[in-house]
Amino acid sequence: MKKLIAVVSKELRSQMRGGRAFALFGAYLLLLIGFEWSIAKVFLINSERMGAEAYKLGFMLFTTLSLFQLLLISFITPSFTAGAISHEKEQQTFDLLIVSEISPISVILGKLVSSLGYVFLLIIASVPVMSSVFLFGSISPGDFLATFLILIITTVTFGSIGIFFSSLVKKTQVATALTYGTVLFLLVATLIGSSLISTYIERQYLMFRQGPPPKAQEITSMKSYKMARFLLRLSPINAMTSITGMTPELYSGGPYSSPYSLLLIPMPQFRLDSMIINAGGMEPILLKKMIGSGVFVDEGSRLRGAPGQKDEKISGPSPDWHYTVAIYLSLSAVLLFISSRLLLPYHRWRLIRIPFLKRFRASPPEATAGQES
Amino acid sequence: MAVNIVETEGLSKRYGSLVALNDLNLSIEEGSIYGFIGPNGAGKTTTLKILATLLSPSTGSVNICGVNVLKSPEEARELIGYMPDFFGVYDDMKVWEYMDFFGAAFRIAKARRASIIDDLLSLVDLGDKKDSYVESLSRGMKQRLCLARALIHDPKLLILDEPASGLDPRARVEIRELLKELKRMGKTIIVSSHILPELSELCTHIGIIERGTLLVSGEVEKIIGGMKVSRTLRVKVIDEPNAVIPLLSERPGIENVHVLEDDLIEMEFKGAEDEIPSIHELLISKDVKVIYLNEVPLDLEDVFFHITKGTLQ
Repeated sequence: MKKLIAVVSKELRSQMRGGRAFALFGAYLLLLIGFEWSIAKVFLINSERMGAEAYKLGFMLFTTLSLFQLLLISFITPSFTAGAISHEKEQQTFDLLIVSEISPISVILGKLVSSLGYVFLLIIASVPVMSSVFLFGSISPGDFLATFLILIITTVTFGSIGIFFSSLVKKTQVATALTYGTVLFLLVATLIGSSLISTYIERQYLMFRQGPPPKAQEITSMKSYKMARFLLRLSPINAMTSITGMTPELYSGGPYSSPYSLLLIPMPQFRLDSMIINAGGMEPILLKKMIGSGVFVDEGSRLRGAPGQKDEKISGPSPDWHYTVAIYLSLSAVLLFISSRLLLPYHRWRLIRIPFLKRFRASPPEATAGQES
Repeated sequence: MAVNIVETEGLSKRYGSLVALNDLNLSIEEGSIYGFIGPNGAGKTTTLKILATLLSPSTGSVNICGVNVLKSPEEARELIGYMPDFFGVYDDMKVWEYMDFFGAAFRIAKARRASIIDDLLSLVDLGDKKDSYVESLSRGMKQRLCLARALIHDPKLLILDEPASGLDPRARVEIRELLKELKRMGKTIIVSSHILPELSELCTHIGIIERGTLLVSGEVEKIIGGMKVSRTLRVKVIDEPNAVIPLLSERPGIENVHVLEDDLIEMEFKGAEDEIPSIHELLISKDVKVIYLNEVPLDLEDVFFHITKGTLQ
């Protein structure tokens, strides 16, 4: 623990020194406030058409702000962690760390905690900005906390991805590119992928179908559907939208009418009055469509009443963000563990000294055998 | 009988078909300064990295103070202070912060750390730079800071890879003096270099390595003594030196007599040390007025060239 603190304090010393950290801090908050202001402005401009109920504004601000913050965090976090280890290799201090008595896991966790500490600071600082939505109602404290939980878990996971690539490769540039690539995959490719799969299901399975519409289980038991669902559960954007149970359905022209719908990025236009919402957040849009048109109601669906009305929950699987949190936490743990092993100069994968496994050990058996006696 | 602090047995390192180290058997006595000499790419850094637990050999074993380095690298690290062939400093830290970090990394209690850091910084003559940023230090200072860092946990063995490379002559002298001081403090030091004069004055033992093979290893004096085939003698006379040349050339065992720039006569003598006075007597008997006659001691450079010459092609 002491050694972990040593790494953290060393890192924080270099990180927080000078004005850079505070400039980024200020810029981040200004950006959030500016974004919130412009969303409110857009809302007010459109209010004639949409109606200017306060709860709509509150909901819109909350959803868009939390997504905006998710995107900001997704782009900031890798820049803090992707160089954590590779930079040590580049400035040739890596060997010194290794020959010291700091354990690899302390190095890894120390690097993670110190780089993410700053990002957490940004997230915490955003609480007052975000909590302005309470002025308008429509967001429960539970939704609010869950949103921050997802922000933090996403930060930890993206941070771990950065640390992993940083331990894997020698150059910070390569580690950064690989980290951003993975983050982009999780942010965007998961959504595009699941959207493409659901289109495929629709074209292949439903479009020319004769007879009555299929039961929900018929579709949910399909492999391609499961794949689409898994992809969605990898996406933090999906997780975030699943908190409030909002679907990204667009108003007019069906799901593929706007370029945003392809990315399934929720725009500040939701069906707020007839809210039939699925527990899965941005589940493959196909399913959403069917739920919306009342063909069937998925087991996991719940009905959310408009403000003033009570939510009606139908028992079923947990909302998607539960899965995302579980997947992300496991992914982080695995990546951090692998990273710590990658730091070792040798015997990286000698985890358990089981006599049975010893005979399969490759490296220097003949030399060490004599020493044992 | 001195105790060996480092023992390697049959150490080899291969990278694919490239043999970086070939069956290296090294013994280093406690309290010695062991100069590890070889041209660039000879395998010095590979060997030192294996000793410093940073690289595993393809075959062979390493023991430091009885600790099997390959089996218990963590234990071995407590015994070793390693300084790589580059600075390895964090530029954005202050000198004391840098030391403090590594102090904490070696589990030195916070209460003791401050005084240890002060002592070490004054040892490497950086006491007044404690609050300076590392990036503001000169190369020589950074190198000394790096040495102080390697000493923070009071290791028995110091492994220094090319400590003087890239330093100006003054900084080299400073490092050399520091190493002598450390030897007096009882440390065993392994120091590698491809520049011989750096080591000649410093080392008690040397090992010469070329293309991964240890050609010779042992006490400097024994190695130099053991390889003497001919001695170089120099004579200073009052008379015209050229007149003395035929006289000397006639004596059996003396070859290649020539006059150096400052009227010194230099010759190669194939004979034992106790035969040297007879040359003196010969000159005096011929009425040559001799100012002095002495033997030119072999230095490490001669040893190096003699040993590596034609050994490996």
